[in-house]
Amino acid sequence: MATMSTSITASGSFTLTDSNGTVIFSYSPSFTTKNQTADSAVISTGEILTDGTSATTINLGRHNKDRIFTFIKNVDTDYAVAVNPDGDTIANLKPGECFFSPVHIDGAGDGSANLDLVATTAAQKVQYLLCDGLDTGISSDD
Amino acid sequence: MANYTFNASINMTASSESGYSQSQSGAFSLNLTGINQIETGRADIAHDADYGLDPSALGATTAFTNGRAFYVRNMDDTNFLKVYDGASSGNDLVGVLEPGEWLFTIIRGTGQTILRADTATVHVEYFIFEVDSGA
Repeated sequence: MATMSTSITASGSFTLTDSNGTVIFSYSPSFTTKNQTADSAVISTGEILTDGTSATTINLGRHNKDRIFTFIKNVDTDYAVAVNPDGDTIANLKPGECFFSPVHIDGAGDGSANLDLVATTAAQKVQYLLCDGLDTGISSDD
Repeated sequence: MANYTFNASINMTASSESGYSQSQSGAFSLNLTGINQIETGRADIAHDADYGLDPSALGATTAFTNGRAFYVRNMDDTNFLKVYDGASSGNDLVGVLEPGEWLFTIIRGTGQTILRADTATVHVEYFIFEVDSGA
């Protein structure tokens, strides 16, 4: 039987500096997951133009909706974009901003299959990279 | 109140054992004017109680009015952590972090950021700060 084995590496750098140049904090986290076949079916990436201010869906039909490593970046110039798995906002990204999280899209008995993007005012371009992760077994909704 | 500059960069690479690999990255800065709340540190997070990264839970008297940016990293070796926008009873999960994993996001709203372990207490590293109306 054919299987798919995936892993991800996520790294970041975050620094807050005050007006005197004093570093308030600086973090550089990184992790790499083990190659895993369980719950792994899809790596998907692309660029999408949101449909004005109505919800624009990234279809996750073949993804493991119980946990998806999710990177999203607003690559447009005008308005913020909300990231709404199953209707709940987990990020509001102004132009140039990005976020990363292992996202739980649905719960037990919940057929939610989509990650929605909602722009304020007018259509905006968004880039994304999604990769299935291991299901933790929790049953709560997103 | 004071002024700050926040610099962030994030890279994610997803790979298949077949050799297929995709990466995306981003970097941006926020100029923060007149913000009241910055918190950073490490904490133990219980599995049977909500832990708030909101100002009131951390002893501050002024609420986030425009939203907040936050980072959470699960330092535990074994158990996972759930990060919520609002109380855990609302089930609004921002992310689920296995040991070693982290998340970063910006939510422009007045809600709370709540952490809750699942099986046993976990240790976390975090920062959270208010974003101003212009950021």
